[in-house]
Amino acid sequence: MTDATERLVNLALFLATAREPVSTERIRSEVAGYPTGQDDDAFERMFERDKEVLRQTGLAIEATPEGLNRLDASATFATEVTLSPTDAAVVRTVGAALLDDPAFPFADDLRYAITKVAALEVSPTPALSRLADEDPETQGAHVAELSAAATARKRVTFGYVNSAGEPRTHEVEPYGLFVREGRWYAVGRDTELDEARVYAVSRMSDLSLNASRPKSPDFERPADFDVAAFIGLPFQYGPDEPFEVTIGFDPGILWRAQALTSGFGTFVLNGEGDDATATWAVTARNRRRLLRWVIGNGPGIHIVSPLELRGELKVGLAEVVNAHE
Amino acid sequence: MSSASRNSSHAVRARRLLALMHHLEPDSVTPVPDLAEALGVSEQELAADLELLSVCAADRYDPLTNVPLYVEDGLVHVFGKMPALDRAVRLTSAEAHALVTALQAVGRGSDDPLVTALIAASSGVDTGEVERVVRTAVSPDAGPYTVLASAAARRERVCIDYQGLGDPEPRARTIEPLAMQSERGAWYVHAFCREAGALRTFRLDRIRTAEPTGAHFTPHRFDATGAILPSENLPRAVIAFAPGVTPPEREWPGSHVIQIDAPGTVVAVPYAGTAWIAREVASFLGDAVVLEPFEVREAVASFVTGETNPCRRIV
Repeated sequence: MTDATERLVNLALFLATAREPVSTERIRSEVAGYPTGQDDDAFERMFERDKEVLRQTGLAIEATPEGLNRLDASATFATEVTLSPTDAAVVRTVGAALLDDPAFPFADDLRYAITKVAALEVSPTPALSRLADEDPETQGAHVAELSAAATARKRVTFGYVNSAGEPRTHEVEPYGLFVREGRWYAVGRDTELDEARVYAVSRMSDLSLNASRPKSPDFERPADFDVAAFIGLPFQYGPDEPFEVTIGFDPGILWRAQALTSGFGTFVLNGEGDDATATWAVTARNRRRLLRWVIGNGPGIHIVSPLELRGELKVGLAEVVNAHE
Repeated sequence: MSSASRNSSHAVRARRLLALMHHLEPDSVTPVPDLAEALGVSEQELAADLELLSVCAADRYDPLTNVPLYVEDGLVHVFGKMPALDRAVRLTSAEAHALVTALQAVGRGSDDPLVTALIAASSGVDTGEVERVVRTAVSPDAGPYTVLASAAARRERVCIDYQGLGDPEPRARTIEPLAMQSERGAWYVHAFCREAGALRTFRLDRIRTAEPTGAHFTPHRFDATGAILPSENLPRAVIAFAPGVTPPEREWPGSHVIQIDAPGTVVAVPYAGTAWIAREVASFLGDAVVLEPFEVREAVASFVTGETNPCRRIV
């Protein structure tokens, strides 16, 4: 008896070699694997299921107006791209890192994508990834479900413990996802609060997708939605009222400024060449985290304003010295 | 196993076999381990897949449409052309989505030439739309990832300018890159440092420049442990936090709480050098105090009063 996998491959090969659209009856008789003596309805269900499986691998299988079957070659095959050895190494190495990272929820699809686009001659550099550090398996599984819900525009419900330790059930229309400093976050409209909120995925439990009418979307994502608008630097989350801070970069650290500022705020370069400095105006919500950021990324970074924050830093550092002398 | 699970496993396997076909070069002989490594599957799994593929055919009545391969003595023999599907199939939308989000993680955004070339050739997916919905990296810049990943693949030495913690200026080093690692969004390279004569780990966003030297190397033995800083054999500092201040356990690898009693929390923190821990403690501005050892207490005080103090302009 022919294995079901073998039947699927046989069908793919048959359709790919057919010079013209073929009838379902011909497929039934010429493709090895369809049981003889199978009743018509059972065959029809099996055949439709097989075509759907092959479509999900990227094969564009169509029905002609006459009810014949064909593989649309132009929609099936990729234009050949020859990656440079450098680009191939980039692709293979990121694959090596993320395919075994349980917090990366798209590993299966990434494996097939890399197999399709990258030549195999370039061996990947050994690589590891740990996108999330708290229960990465659960975070990865939840993100996979949330991503599927965002794609299908289906509402989700989950239990959630907020930062104050209060548990509550939320119904959310998931718009997007991001990972920051070892945690995945979901952004979506909380249907009870009627506003977009950010939820740490590691704090979710009993996540479930609205199973009713699975092929009908429950909501539409706002046309101008961009998950980047919800991502902040460590000092942009916190209990304080938002305030503006200006930070100065000395010449010696200017080369790191792009990575450190990550495109947030307003960055102004002063001067040119080796003596150039820069100022960066950005909104903050957590004074302590901001001061930690300045110390952690220096030397060469200083607070220009507000002046009282400079004073707070000065007093704090004096306390450090007093405590350790 | 349920009927749905069986169908799903057949679908997964069929997807694997179809993805494999365009890599089987006509009239070639390839060791199974090489192909398995390249495809990221086990040798047993690949051998079983090839066995199954060898009995597949486009037309059950035409033996010339069989997949022309056999496996013998650990070698994959392909003795003709594939009957079909010998070209790469376009990416499904889920595959394109996965590839875009993966490349994001190494700083290749939706407008990066590599991303746009790959996706344009193989998928109709709007890369910008993917990026507006999922972000696997905060910063659009992953530093010299490309140079280091490709140099590691070629086993080529790289000269880097590296700004270590506490160094006022970047210092030149020649390294032999062995492995890449992403940890909570930051990329690192594990390498043999020729200046230090030992294995070292460098954070990519502290590498100012990276230039391949053209000189090649034989890799040193390196076992990736999964930890950026293996902490088992390191000394530990004992640090007391003020009441109400939460120790940053997630940011301090290997640290653990040893006392939660009032008036504050006390943690033990492994450290490889005093520069890192002194800076971390100082950044708490008096809310964290090193109890022991003396060398770390001294390092904290020196950090604030010394020349490398990041805030010396105002203190």
